[in-house]
Amino acid sequence: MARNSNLAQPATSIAPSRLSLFGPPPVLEGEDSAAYDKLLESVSGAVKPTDIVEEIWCRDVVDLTWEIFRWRRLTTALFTAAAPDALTGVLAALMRRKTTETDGMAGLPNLDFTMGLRPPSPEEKLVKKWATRNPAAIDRVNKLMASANLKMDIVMAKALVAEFDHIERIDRLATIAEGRRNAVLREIDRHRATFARAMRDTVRDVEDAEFRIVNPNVVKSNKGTEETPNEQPTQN
Amino acid sequence: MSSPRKIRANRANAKASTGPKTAHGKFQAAQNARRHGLSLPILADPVRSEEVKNSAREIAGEGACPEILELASRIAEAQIDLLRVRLARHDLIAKKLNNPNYWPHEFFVIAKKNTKLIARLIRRFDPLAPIPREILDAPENTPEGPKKIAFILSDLTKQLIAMDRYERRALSRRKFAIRALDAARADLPRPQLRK
Repeated sequence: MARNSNLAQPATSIAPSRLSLFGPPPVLEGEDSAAYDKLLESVSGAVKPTDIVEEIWCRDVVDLTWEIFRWRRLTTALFTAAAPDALTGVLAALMRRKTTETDGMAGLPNLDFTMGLRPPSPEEKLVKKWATRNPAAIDRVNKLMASANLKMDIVMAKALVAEFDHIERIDRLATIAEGRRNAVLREIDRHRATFARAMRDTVRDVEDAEFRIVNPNVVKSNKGTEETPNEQPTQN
Repeated sequence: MSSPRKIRANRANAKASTGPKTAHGKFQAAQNARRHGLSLPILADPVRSEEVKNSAREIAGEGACPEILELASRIAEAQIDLLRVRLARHDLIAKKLNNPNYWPHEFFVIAKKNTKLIARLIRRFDPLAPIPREILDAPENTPEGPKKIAFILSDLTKQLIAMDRYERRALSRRKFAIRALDAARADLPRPQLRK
């Protein structure tokens, strides 16, 4: 992934003169501006905007799609990041590790006192190896989970609970972006229908202007001959 | 009730001691009420106003009649306003994202809670008592990657909601302006349409 500055460089497909109307691409740090350009190119190529208003909408659709991708990627990444902690919690219960608890301290929360830096617990060590896709660690985790008739769904559920607030916010942003993209697509449909109707009317006018009424008497008298019948343009 | 002499003295003291003195301080104080500047109309800014005019000409096309140009300028105004909101939102997120020392608000809350807890423990036990695991496990590094963006979005929720409102309004204005332009173009006599 390319590392970008605060304000991303304008996409290659945007002329500098039109930057005031389209703005810079909404690429954040850590996002691939080349992928954005590719998306813009592919959408513009498929839609083929017929006027500047359609170009604006096209850009809107691309920006909103990019935003939706961003939120979806972020949700997946949050799940992935939260999975080891969630797995540690599940394994701690499975490995029957009893946490040291202190008592007799009225008014204080239930605290685990440890002198100095706490050494990693066995399940933390195991999860660390599991996260690096160590085959032995994966096998051990699978066996432990199977012994309790558990699946990885429980880990993902725990990860969801841990990240619920973040995921809910991100999901709301994605929903807003999707709603706006759908609204833009509806507007393109409506605009093209108006444009198509105007085109139809224009074509009809042009055809009407070209249309000529053939005098039937002339056609009868010239029947069988090669002569072209006398034609009159219509009076509209 | 204060005597008139006391009131005069208070006012004189207040005048002598309040307000920024340096040019930098005055500039900063002048920006106190400013949040994002998105409520300002686009046409109040001479630079953006010029952009609206140029963009309107581009939208209306060559040799457009004044009516079309007027409708096109409504679209341009809404579009530039929309870009202003989007750019402000992008900058807001990017600024936090580019800050390597970004510390989420949630971490401050945890740190404050832990400080209180340590103070209580010291009062009750020995200053050299073992540190509770809860405090040892508290986040101490700045978040990275997806976690950082998630925390930034949490911290910026209020501002993002406000900006979303401005964006929604600008989008609505642009939609109706485009519809008006389409309707006006459809009503134009055919030769003008073909041109």
